[in-house]
Amino acid sequence: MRIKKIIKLMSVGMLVVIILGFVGVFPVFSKSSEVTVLLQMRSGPEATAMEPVVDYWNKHYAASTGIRVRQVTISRMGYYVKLFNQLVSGTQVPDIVFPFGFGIGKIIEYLEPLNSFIEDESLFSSPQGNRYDIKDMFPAMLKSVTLNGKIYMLATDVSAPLLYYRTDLIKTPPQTWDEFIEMAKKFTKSYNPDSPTEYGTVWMAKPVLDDTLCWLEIFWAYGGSFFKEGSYEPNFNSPAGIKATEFLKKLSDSKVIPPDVVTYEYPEVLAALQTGKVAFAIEWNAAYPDLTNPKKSPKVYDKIAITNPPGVKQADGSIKRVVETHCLGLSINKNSQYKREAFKFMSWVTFGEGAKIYLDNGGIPPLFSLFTAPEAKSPLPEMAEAVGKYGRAIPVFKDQMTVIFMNTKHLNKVFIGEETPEEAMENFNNEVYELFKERGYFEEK
Amino acid sequence: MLLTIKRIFSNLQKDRYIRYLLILPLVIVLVLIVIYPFIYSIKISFTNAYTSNYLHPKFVGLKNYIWLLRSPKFWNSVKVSLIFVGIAVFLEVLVGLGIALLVNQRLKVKKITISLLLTPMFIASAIVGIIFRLMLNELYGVIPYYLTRLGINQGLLSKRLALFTVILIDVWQWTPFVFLILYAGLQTLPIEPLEAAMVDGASKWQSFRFVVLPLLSPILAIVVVFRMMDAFKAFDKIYVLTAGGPGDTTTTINVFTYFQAYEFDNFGRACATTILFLILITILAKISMSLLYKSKLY
Repeated sequence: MRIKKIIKLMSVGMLVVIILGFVGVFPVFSKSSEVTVLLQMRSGPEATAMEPVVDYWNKHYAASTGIRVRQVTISRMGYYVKLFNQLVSGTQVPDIVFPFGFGIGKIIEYLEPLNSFIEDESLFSSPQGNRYDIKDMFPAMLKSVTLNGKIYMLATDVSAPLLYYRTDLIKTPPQTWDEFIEMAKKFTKSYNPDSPTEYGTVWMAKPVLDDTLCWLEIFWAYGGSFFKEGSYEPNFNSPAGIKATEFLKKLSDSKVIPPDVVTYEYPEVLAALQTGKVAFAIEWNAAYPDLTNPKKSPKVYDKIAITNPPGVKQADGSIKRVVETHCLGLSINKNSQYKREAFKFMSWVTFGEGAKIYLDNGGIPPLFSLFTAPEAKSPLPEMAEAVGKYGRAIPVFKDQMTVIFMNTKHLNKVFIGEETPEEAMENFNNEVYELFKERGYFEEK
Repeated sequence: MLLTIKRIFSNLQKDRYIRYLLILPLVIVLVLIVIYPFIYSIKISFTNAYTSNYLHPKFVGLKNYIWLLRSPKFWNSVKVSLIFVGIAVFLEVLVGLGIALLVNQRLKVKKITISLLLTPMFIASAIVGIIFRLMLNELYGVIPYYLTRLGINQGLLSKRLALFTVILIDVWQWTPFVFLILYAGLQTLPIEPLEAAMVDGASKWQSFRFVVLPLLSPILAIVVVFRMMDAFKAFDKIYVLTAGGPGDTTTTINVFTYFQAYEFDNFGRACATTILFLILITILAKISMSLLYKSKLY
């Protein structure tokens, strides 16, 4: 009898705890005038840079604003899968999330538009009351997170593929994509046995995202566009698309790159530069601190420079360059209970004092005021030109990430000779057309 | 104390409601993490669900299944999976059995050998992918370095060899598991039939073929089914190492499903793929079990 009684009591107790947990009774007991905003970051340099920013805010402004921020960091591996699942589930927390700029289209339904907050002087201002200037952010960054006039993210970091080259080997880096291959031949042992490097260059050709983002720099430089004027009709099988893909085919056929580049992404290209095996390469700006660090890159740290990627020579002799620019940043969960409080903190991190602290800790906030400041160190001045002058972001539409992944599969097939550039662009264009048809893009127009 | 425990159990047996109450937590967990997601994925497979419309997807009937059955990419992934599983499991059983027989002999450093042999099994698959990604790199990897010295200039992750390389990595990681089970099996075999065979003048091969192998076949059947199911699930190391490439050469069904769900943002198709995958695995497991039992090894 006693056993039965204990089991019954335990069952009832567990039931009560579960019910209390579900109805969210617990927060009531800890209610205070201060609000805690939950910020979710992805593990890695951005989360590390954010920690001191959050600490600074909590120490100096939590009491005066009544907003305390708690940072949670979740694993980088499969981060976006977790983020999409979280947002789709309709959960109220985290209040602030950290998506990719070009992944925003996919989750836009689950994010809060920020325009009304930006217009609100009490929110888009420092804790001391000084209003921020939205124009301080690189225009390409804002454009990359705006759909139908609504801004969905404030950028904390800018990311762009730029040209890294060895200053002891190269005086003038390649200016055009044709020169890129010619110069690579000069530094490839199979062409020039006296070459100090094994191969001229490397390329991020793994079928993930990087190869498409680098390909876009060539595609846009040839005058390419995602869609035909005023419509959602895909335009990748245009002459620009084919020429940009032909460049990759030429790069692969000329053997100025290692044979296994189809498995290369950011770390492999970084290692190729660090080990001094190649003379130059297109790589993300995030690689600069590692490449100029004597401990991490003892062979090349004092011989590496960063510059604009090559472009396409125009009829008038000028060179058209485009730098694929995207951002990482902070967005507000549509179901958050503390949207205004979340925005107050976010604006401080991206436009205010927080941006400077974030920069000092390894972040790259895309603000003109920081990039062009007299004390700004490399690669900021170089990036100010590359991103500020030539930066272009992927247009925002709901399936932007899907389109990038579709492209990446075809580029990989071009690299291994399974598709010709024409076939690749034709097939890719058809796939995008089918996707858009299925998802009602043409009905909207 | 013993009497109290006995009394508790006899009381529990008398009261069938208590019995049900005690298994209730397990049933709840099973329903929440196995049965409900399974039924839910069947439901999603009949819709056009993607991230933006996930909360209100449209019913599309068998459209996703028809698309998959007509898709050359889906069939390619089935082919890649079958090759991967077939060769990997075959090699794992072959090598695992060989090592088990070897270790089963009187070996002086048996304990250390067993511990060392088991190491790869304890490494997470994603980490295995990263390790081999570094070791196979043409510019600074240790494997191409020695292969080049031996005069072999073949990219192990090239279109021609990538699948074979991925298979060998799986064999490296999971042969220890096969070894462990078979070694445990060998340890439990009765010694009398072997002694009788020796008295009858059977050679070592004959003893193995007609005595050891038949006695071991139930364990072999279990190992094959376990490894088959697990090899079909292989994802992490393939995705980390090749991301399904070059081209589609290492796109197994799991990688294909991941692409459909998270790269091409089509949860309906991804769920339909998993359902077809489940049917395929069930059929294959059934066939391999009955083949092994009917092979008259004993």
